[in-house]
Amino acid sequence: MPRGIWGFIARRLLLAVPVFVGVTVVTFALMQIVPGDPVALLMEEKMATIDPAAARIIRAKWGLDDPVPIQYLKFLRNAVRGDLGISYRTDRDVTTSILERVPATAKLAAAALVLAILIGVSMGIVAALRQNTFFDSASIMLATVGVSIPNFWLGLLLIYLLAVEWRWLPPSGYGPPYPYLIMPAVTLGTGLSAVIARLTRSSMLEVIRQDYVRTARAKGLPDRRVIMTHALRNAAIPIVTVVGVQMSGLLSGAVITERVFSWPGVGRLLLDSISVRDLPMVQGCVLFIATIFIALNLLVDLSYAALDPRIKYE
Amino acid sequence: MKAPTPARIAPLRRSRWRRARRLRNLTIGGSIIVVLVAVAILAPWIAPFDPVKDADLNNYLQPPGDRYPLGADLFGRDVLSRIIYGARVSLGVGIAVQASALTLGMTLGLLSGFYGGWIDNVIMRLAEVIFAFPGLLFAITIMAVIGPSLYNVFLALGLVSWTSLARLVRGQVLTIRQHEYVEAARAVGASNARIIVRHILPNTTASAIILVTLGIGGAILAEASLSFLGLGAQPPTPSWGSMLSTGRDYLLQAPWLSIYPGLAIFLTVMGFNLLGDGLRDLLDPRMQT
Repeated sequence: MPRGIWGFIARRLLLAVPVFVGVTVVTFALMQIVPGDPVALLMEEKMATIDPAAARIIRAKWGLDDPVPIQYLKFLRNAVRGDLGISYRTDRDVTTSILERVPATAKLAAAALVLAILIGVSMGIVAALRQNTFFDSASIMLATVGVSIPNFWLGLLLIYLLAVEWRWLPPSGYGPPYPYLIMPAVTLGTGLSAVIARLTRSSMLEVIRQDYVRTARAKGLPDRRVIMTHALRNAAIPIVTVVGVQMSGLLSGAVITERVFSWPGVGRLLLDSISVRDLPMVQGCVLFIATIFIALNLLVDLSYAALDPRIKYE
Repeated sequence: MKAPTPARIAPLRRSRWRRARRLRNLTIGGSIIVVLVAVAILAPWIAPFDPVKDADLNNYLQPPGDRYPLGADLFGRDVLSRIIYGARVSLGVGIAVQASALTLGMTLGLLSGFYGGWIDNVIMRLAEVIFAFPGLLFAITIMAVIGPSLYNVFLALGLVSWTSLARLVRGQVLTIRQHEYVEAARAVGASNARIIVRHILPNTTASAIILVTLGIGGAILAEASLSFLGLGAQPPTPSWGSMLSTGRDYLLQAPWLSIYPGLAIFLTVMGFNLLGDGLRDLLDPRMQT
């Protein structure tokens, strides 16, 4: 690692702070432009007319009487402390409700990511090394198919075939990884593995033509070492960038996959909250997921340093 | 003319093979897109029925047959006609979103990577704030807030899509700007604008094409996903995603309601991907040496 890397990490961490603040501003602002009065929204299902006394109590409980900038500052202060407010619908703590759903989403996303990297990178490497062969052609076609399949359609087809027709797996539900995680992980990971395979292939094709790879081969290094140490490490920068970018797709995809398979994660909590217009819960879920992304982007940026010492962190 | 030596035959063969594959990708991808664009434009003339008005409850969930080649939905509407009209929604959203992403993303990524300093900081922090909201989740949130409509889908996806491209281009510029040919260009007195346009831009286009091509497919998938969740195009607009959403509830009874709209999305996205692959092989100078 270059010597300036620790300073870079510290600066990068500091720069993540305004991004987090920016994210809270956008999240808060979006909730402010919801048409209608939140009190009316809260009470319309419970009573036909709005009782002024009850409305006052509600406004005080959710801090709706404060001016908007003060509401925002309180929201920011509480968010930093991990307090995302109280649900309009369940009257429960939003943070607790989200944290209860995190393990399910984490399991799903991690399984899909591991599957995607394993399949994508190995398929990409082999396709590049066997360029212009049948295997290359077949893996390109497979990757094109994988990246083009809508995950909800793939999910429905899997349910139809594996659960309904052949009765191999349960159609939906949450439980031990086998058998419950298989179809959701395949549904979510397929698109990403295809993207990774394409990028790995094109990136490897560029790298294996470089002089240093030829030199490594010329000095008699075994193929495996040339590929893993010299080629893959240099080909990894665009791959890491794309995996970082695609993490967004992975967690967005998790929302849909959770809906298709009734998987009780954060994504489904978000969708359920949207359907009952539970604004604090929607706001909490969006802020939570966005914060996870800030952390992931930071990791992607930092990993460049480990992969390419030529990049100067001025 | 001298006969080619054995050493030259192998590269020639490879190059022919490559050209054939490039042509195949361009041909298949291009054909799919041309057909889809034609279908979208000519929808009123080629669709056998009106996608909305020609409802007939007597034909409730009619399986594919002579009258309805791809079956009928739960209102007795022709699935084929609705898929034909759905091409307008999908292609429109996909192309519009990526056109705005390309313009914004390339410009900001080049500026950010080349100049560094505060320009890089401002652009990348802005990108990160937007990027911190995954595209689809951002769109989902906007729909939840201001209500679902196709215009809001375009707005949300357009605002988010440029960030991936800007980050990719910036990452490449960081490496490219340290190459000797950039230094050489600077040494002979080339202006920054010339260096960016003549020396850096061409080296970033290959990856940009891959990403934009995937992006059109991605935008089409995103629109379909939102409609599948009930947050994009609203009934009775014939959108492939919302057709799938309805189809899900009738998966056992009427699988054609799910299979054909999904197939339409799949083929459209694949068409753009193949086209992009072909163009990439064509445009990347290193692939032709």
